[in-house]
Amino acid sequence: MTGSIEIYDLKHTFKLGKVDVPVLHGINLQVKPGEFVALCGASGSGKSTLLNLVGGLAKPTQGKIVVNDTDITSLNENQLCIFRQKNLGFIFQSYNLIPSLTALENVELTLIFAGIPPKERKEKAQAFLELVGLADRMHHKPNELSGGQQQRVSIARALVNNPSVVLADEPTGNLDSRNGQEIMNLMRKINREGKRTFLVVTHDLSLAKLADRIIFLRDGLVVEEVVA
Amino acid sequence: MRFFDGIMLVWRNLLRRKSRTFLTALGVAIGTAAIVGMIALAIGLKENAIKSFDNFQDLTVLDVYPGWRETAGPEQMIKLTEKSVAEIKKIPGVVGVMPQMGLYTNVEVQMGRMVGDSMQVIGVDASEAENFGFELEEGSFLSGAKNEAVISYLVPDYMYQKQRNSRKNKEEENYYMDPFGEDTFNKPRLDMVNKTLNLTLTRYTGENNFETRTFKVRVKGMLKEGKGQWGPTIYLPMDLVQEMNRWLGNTGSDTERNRGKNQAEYETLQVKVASRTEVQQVVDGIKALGYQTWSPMEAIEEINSFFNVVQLILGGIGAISLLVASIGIMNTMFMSILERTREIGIMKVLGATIPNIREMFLLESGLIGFLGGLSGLAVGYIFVTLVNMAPQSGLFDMTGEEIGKIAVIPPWLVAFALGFSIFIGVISGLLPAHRAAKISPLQALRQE
Repeated sequence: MTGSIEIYDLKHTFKLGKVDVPVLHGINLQVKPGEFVALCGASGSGKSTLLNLVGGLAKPTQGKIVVNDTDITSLNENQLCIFRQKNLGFIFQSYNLIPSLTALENVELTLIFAGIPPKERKEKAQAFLELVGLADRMHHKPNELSGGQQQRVSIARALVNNPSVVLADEPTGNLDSRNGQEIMNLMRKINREGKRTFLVVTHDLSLAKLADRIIFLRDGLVVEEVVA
Repeated sequence: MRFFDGIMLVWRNLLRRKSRTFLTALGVAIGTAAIVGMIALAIGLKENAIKSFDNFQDLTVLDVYPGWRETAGPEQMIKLTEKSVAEIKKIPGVVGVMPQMGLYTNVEVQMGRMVGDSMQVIGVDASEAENFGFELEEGSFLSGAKNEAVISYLVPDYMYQKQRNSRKNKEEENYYMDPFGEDTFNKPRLDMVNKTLNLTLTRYTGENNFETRTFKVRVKGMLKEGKGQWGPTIYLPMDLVQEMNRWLGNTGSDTERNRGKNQAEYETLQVKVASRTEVQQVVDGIKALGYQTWSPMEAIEEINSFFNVVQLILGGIGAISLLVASIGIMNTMFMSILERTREIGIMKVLGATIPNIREMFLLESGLIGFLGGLSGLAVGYIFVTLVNMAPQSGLFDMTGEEIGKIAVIPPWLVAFALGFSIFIGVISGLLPAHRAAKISPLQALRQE
């Protein structure tokens, strides 16, 4: 179903040199379409790894991840690229904007890879920048924007290809509490209005409380689920 | 990703690192300029050599000489006769065959008070004149009557006034007339058409006695100036020249015998070929019949192959500098990937496919090649212009009319230079692009 995430018996091991470091020990998780889920846990608990695996940025050692009814663990690298392009939006802690491009161009970039014609591209990008409240900052480069503004650009970029699932890794981690709160509220608003599924990694409980459901990880296992 | 969007993205990347882009492209530019300049030079020299040949003579006219048949015994001559004419006419591509016979003595030419010497007298078969494309300045061709002549354009220039008091100036009487002297250009050309010429031959009869005989001929026409006309030539009917040679006693015994058989033997045959492309085939045909011939096209072929080698060598020198430039591009691209690993990772997360990434890097290296090629071409043009402006002593062609260009850039060279520099760019980008496409997005994002 569009916007659903299903994780079955997910195990993942990092190789650090010759040493295997197990990170995830068998995670089972279902996220319903349109749900806003927060992943919480101490650092090293495996929450970011889980998010990256759901985004197809790495292949799990074992287990199955089904996003939008597609088993992404069976896709090859290029198929994953196309899957991300069509279904997923990413928001990072450090924004990951391209410094040489303006806010508008950064948002357009996603659409460039999707092969959208320039006029349509520009209109869409402008609409999403307006949605995140950056109508007057479109032609600024990232280094001319504050952290909160940069994160808004990255949210606009994550949404512009109309993904059903948005994955956010510590989106407020580099922001002060006021800006963090605003970004969280913005994501929640977009989640409600656009019926998009959000999977957000955070260690800030006060922000996690805004989610529909909070999942706590410890040592690579789900230890607790809290429905808000 | 659309092609134009790719170009725009790549273009901005290149602008971000202006000096590096400039230096890398400079390498390509030097290589391209070297190739273009060198090849242009080789082409120019070749064109000059061929053009001078071309002006020198009509390339579609061949001279055929008797051949030698190699047998077990003494060599046997293959004579030029009516039969030869018929044989040669059958070769595809032959338009006309004109037998010729020279006169083996100096003739004094006299018309009224004007005289001339050192003129060539050639007996021809008049019926073929039109097939050879001879054009008349004035008058008409030989009609077939015996006492007629057609003169070449230069003949009037070689006529001079006989001194009246010849006794006093006896020494000067026969001075060599400089045809390009001041007098020649200032005085009006002598009109000789439809006038009668006295051709006086002198023969030695032994014991310091000389005998002269004068033949009267009427000038029917004068040829236009053109290729293959070397000097003052008087064309007479074949019969008349044969008669002159007999009187002079220059008739070889062969000819005496042939007269008995009533079959003329010719000294040379001129063969006119329909077009230049057929010359070689006709030459081969004539040689197969056993006659000797030589075509200026053969010389041109030799010039061609010589300059093709020159072109290859000069082009090769340029190619080496392009090879070095290509290593430069590769280096730049690897650097660029290292710097942009994180960016490549972001793009992959945003949905750039592996072919997208590869395409972007190939476009980038191709664009560097193109920019280098374009500026190299510009430098090449400047070089060629400068070379062609240089004093061109010794590079007049043989007729002295036209000054050829030393270096020439034909359109194909422009296309080749641009195409090749783009090609070099793309080739140099292959490995870096492959490496960029393989970058793992997760690892790239972790990199700071």
